[in-house]
Amino acid sequence: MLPIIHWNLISLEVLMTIILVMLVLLDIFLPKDVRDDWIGTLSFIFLFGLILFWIDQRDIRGVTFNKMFVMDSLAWFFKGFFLVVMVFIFAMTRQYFKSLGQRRNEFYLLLWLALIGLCFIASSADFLLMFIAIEILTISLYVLTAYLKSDKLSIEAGMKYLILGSLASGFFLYGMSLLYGVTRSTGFEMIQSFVNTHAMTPLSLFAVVLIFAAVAFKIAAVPFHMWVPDVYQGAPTPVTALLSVGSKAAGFLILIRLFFGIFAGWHPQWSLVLAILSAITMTYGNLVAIYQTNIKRLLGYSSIAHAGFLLMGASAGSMLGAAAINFYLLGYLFTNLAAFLVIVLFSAETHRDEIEDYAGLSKRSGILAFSLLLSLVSLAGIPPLAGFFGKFTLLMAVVNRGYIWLALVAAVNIVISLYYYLMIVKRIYVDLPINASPIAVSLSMRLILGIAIFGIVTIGIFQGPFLDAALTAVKGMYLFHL
Amino acid sequence: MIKNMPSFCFYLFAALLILASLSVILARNPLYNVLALVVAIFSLSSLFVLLEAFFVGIVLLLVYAGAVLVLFLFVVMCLELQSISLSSAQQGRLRLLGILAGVLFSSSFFWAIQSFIKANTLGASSIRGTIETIGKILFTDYLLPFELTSFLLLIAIFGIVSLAQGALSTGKEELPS
Repeated sequence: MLPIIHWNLISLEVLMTIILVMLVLLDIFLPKDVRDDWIGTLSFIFLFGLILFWIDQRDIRGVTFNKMFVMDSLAWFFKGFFLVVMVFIFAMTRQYFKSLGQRRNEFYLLLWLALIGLCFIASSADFLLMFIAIEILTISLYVLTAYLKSDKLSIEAGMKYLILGSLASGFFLYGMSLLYGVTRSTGFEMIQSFVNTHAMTPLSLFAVVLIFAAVAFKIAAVPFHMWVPDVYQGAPTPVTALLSVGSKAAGFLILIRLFFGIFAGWHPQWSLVLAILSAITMTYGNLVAIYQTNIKRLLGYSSIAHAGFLLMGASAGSMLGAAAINFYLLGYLFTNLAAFLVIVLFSAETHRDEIEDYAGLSKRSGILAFSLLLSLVSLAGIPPLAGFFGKFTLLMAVVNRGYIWLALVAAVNIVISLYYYLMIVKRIYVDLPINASPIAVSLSMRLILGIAIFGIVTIGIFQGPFLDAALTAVKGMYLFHL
Repeated sequence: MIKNMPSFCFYLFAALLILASLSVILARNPLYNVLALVVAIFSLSSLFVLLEAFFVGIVLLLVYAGAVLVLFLFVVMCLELQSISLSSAQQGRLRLLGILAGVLFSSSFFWAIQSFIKANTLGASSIRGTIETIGKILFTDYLLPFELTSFLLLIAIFGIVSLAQGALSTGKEELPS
């Protein structure tokens, strides 16, 4: 018998699919010289339309498709998150490919597919659906990473990401099938009721560890971080931005769904492991970042370090911890995307990504220098910007849990990260430029940069509503259990 | 004899599977590796048939032995990889580490499975692995994941179009050879 389908729950994804089909048709029928611009502009308009639709959906909650597809507060929160991320990514793509002079129509279509994958990850309440949603995201990212096929670094990055990503998918699938063998279900509700009534056995531990390994690959936590530096450096910059914000957020979303939801009954067994992993991850990321000379590579290691910070929230295993993850990701979105926007705009003019080229940026373009300054300082966690309050809530969560040592490790790491972030700031503002030609920034890009800066400052100063939103997202989560 | 037929078949195919898998990793000639993999897949699918999971058995044969491995064979034969000896990568510390990790992983996994079988309270699954049951489940309970796989195919098409077609841009850059 067919399950009853509540279409209003899944309407956002259906709309996205319709948009995708429309864009594919336009791609076929539009003349070649206007095609790329049209698809880019239309994508932008549709994204804003979808954001309006998403706001309209704020009260729609429920489960459908045989309890596989869930629209809860967490899914709603993250769908909005992904839509905003995509607005920035589309803006970057336009700018990035304009300077390269390459065709970009498939790039847009693949970005839409990645967005669909992200939204389905946010809504999946079944391991099978979750796996396919993750694959939709990851496989489109493989293609996007290798998109610049005349660039050897891009191809190398795509190849590395494909091989290691397939390994991670294998882990996920293996863990998922073992879990099915233990619980006889792929649905989250059934698995949760099994977890709550049964003790952890060696086989279920095996399954959980394998699934966690796959998620750790997504969020780039040590020891599953090996792909990060090369892929971040080689991929087209908009894709790097998507990997560092969208893909990472998706990983943490899965982490929250699994470890604050269905596996929460086995909480004592994994809390300490997560805490240790968190400490190792942030220390590794920050120490290696010091030696980087390429800014995309540096942000790669910095994103490993941030994965470590975010894991603190997961190890806390409390409602505050999960809310802190959500809140931190909100700040991280604007902060990191502002940094990547500057990188895109800078390399559009200079075609270089080395840190030494950023010398004297303040004399070449005031707005780029200021945006990069704000985002780096916010990444380092200096008040009153978004990064500071995010780190503060995460620290609060682990201290409440009793991991004082972890809070100390994090504090030391914040100091280490300050060093390399401020080294770039020194280069921008103190050093003399090698080439003093000014860098022009168009009005539309100024506007996008302005939005990002506005986000960084607003979240830093008026934390209240954002923290509320992060907390509500966790509280109303389907199968939330602590 | 007839009564013991299933378990006889099980041991036969299991032994074949182990032998074939060993020769996949031990044979020096890539061509033999691939052919051994075909045998391994065949015995694996026979095991699934013995478990009455007919659909999985057939899919294994069709997809892996039929499509993927033929592709492997083509690649191996077209690239003439026979001349490349794999022995250098198999030597030294890497080999020792590999064996250690393999033994550690498989023994702990074996232990986990053992303890699970001893404590299993759920009993055997009642689902038959025929094409009919799988078709029914796929189009009712698992409708959404099934439909979503179409996105995967779409990505594959876009990926091929964008990665495999001729020069992307003005045509002055060349593919790295």
